[in-house]
Amino acid sequence: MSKLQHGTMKTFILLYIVYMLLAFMLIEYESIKNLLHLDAIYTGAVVWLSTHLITLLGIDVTADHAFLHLDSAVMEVKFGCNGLEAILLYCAAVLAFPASWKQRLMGIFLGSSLLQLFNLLRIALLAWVLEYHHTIFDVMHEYITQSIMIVIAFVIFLIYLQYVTDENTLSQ
Amino acid sequence: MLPMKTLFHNKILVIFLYFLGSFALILPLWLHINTAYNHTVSNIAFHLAALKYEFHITKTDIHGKEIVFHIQNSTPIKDFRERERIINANITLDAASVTFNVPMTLALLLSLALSFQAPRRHKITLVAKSMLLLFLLHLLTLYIIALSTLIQSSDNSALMHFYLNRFYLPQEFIFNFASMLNSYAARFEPFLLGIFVWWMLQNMKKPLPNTTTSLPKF
Repeated sequence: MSKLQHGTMKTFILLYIVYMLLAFMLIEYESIKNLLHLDAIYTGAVVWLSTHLITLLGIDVTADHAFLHLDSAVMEVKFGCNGLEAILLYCAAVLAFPASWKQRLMGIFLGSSLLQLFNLLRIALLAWVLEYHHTIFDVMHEYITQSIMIVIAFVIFLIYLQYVTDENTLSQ
Repeated sequence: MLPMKTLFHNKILVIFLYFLGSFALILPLWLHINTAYNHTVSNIAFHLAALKYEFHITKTDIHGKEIVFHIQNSTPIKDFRERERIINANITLDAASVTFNVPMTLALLLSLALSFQAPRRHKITLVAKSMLLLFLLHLLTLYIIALSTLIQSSDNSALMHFYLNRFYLPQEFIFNFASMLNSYAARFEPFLLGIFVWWMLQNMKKPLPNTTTSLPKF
């Protein structure tokens, strides 16, 4: 695995915080939200894709903005559940880490796609739990599926670090 | 491209497997102690916030995951008719929304510590340091949320507004900071502490020659 030196780590953390603040502004800042409500657009796309995946599990579902109407309950896909925060967190780390732009773009594209795939599976799993095992839904949602995205983002970031280090070693 | 063989010969898979095992152990334990932890952190954070704005806590109630602090002004105030007035307010804090990621974070820290080769004493110190950072992050988040909730409570009471106006209140900053910490910090704690521990463990290993040359210049 790659080895970050002290100075590089400091720069990484500084850049990481700057990128996270920019991401926060992009999502939360009212003026930007009025121009482009990225969160709402993204949630709409995730809800639409989730309905298809949940239907594959044999569960009847309809989508309405950020809501998924199941037979016995309604699920709301909020910020945090739509996978956007895990993607922003991951992208900020990829951009902050020293690498070529080609590597960064590759890392962002592949990592984000993978993260969103995991997120769609997570939403489908939650819908299945809500429909058939609703007694364990709260524990599943709060402790297992909600934050697993961040851990997956972390693991994908480690894989990205491996990829960057291996490519740089090979090129030398 | 990175060959899959290399990918799975390295520590990532080991870390993930250790993580699953650690999480299965830590989650039931956390479910037993989370109420006590949440109450402790909330109490410390709210006491500090109340102290800053010269309030004292008269009573504490617990409603499910939420803690309700009943507060009263510590500094006596008088109205324009020179009558002494007492400010009473109820402030609710929900620590569970800030600390819900703890089992995930601890499992990640443990899995990283188990996956790397370093002296045991160093690993224990590192995990302890990370847990302290985690506690401080929760404390800071709840402190800022408590300050923000206290300021917001002045919207409904002219007396409270008058009482709090004696202090310098960077309201917009505190609201935004509280919103950011509430929305992001708790969710990102596994990622940030994960990178911190991973970096520290990397640096604990014996330095290899030419390791930095594999990285591009920043």
